[in-house]
Amino acid sequence: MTNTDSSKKKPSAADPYSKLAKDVNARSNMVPVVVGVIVALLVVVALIAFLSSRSSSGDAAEGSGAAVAADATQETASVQISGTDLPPFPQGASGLTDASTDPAVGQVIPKVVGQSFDGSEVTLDPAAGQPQLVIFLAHWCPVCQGEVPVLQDWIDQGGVPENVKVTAVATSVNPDKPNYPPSKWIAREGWTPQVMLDDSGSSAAQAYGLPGFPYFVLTDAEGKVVQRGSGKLPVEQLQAAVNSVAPQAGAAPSSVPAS
Amino acid sequence: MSVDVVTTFLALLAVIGIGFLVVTWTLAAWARISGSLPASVVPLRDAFVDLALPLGFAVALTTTLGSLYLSEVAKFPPCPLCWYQRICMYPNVALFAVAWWRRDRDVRFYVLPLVVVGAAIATYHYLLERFPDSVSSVCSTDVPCETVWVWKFHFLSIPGMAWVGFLLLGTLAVLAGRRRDSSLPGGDTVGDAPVDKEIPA
Repeated sequence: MTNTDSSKKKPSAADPYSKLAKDVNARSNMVPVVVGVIVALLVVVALIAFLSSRSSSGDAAEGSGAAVAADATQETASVQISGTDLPPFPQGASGLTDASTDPAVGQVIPKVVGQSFDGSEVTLDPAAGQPQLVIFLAHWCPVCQGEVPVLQDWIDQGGVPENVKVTAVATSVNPDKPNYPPSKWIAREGWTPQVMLDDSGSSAAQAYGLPGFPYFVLTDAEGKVVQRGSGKLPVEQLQAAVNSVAPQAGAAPSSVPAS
Repeated sequence: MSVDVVTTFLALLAVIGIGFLVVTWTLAAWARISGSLPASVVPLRDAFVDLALPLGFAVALTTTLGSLYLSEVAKFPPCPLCWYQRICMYPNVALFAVAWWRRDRDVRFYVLPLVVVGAAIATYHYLLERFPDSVSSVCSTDVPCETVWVWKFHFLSIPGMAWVGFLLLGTLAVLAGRRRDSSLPGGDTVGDAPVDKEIPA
């Protein structure tokens, strides 16, 4: 059609044009071959994609034997929250906050009664009588995925004083997002501290003023916020933070020296 | 049909695309350095020059439908960077379709600005996925661009595949504008006519 139009507009070009067309036809014998190869490639690729997904789903079923993942009966659970919500994490703040930048410092954390993956009860209790480090994690967050092994190394090396209670809160759980379910992730990382499950509306995270992931809330032995932190934190900063609250609980036995 | 099948299929297409890019640009560099293509490759080159516009249309359509599948069927929410890449990708469907229909071999003038910007954003997005710490050390609560939704063959993510798509479109758009080898008879006989780049299929 375009050809005809062009010919109409410029009849003088018709002759060389048809010559060119003939010439093209003479040299285009590779076109059907190329098209055929492309179609064949598409079929092969579709087959591979289909077959590989079948075999890989089988692999996934075999690999699901991790102890905690097997025990997991739930990935979210209802939480009972009492007390006053913490104010939202100050916007634009980075690293760990202090009293000058964070209105939450000095405020008692809300009490949260919830459950872990296997249904056992986990509590965030300001009246626990010991300093607490609460870490909010989202399974799909790559920063959390990178931070968890770093934190676990730190815990394994005895970085956290024994009288500081560490609780991870698995929040913002979404089956449609990557790295689901969080139970498998937590099991795979060999995470030792207790894990509380947030509800599907992330109520606990909201009550603690969560700005993003990961999110840290550190309290003293009276359950008052000492520092909060958003995002990836260097272990040195966390070490200094937990060391600062550990002496306040000096009455509690501390057999593991801070490294 | 599961999401995994579709993403594996798209990733395999991207791998083929990478192979095509490597071969094409290696041969182009060869031709530039040595002055001419190996004679045995010329008919193949001509076939791809002839097929560049329909192939470009097919690539643009595949990337567009693939991206719509990932957001609308697989329900992966597009992050802001995804949206900027979509802005650069989707118009190529129409550009290549119209160019194919009109046999307009100058489509590269419209395609290249889009794919250069798109490829740049895809590069940034891919690096952001690989090294989330380098740009931001916190995940936002909505749709962070760092989240890796698809990871195939240890190197292909969604922006990785988009990057391949952009380079393919750019390469095909350039190929479409290639004149047939003038050393063969009839190659440039209509060089002064305004229709010289409209080669009937």
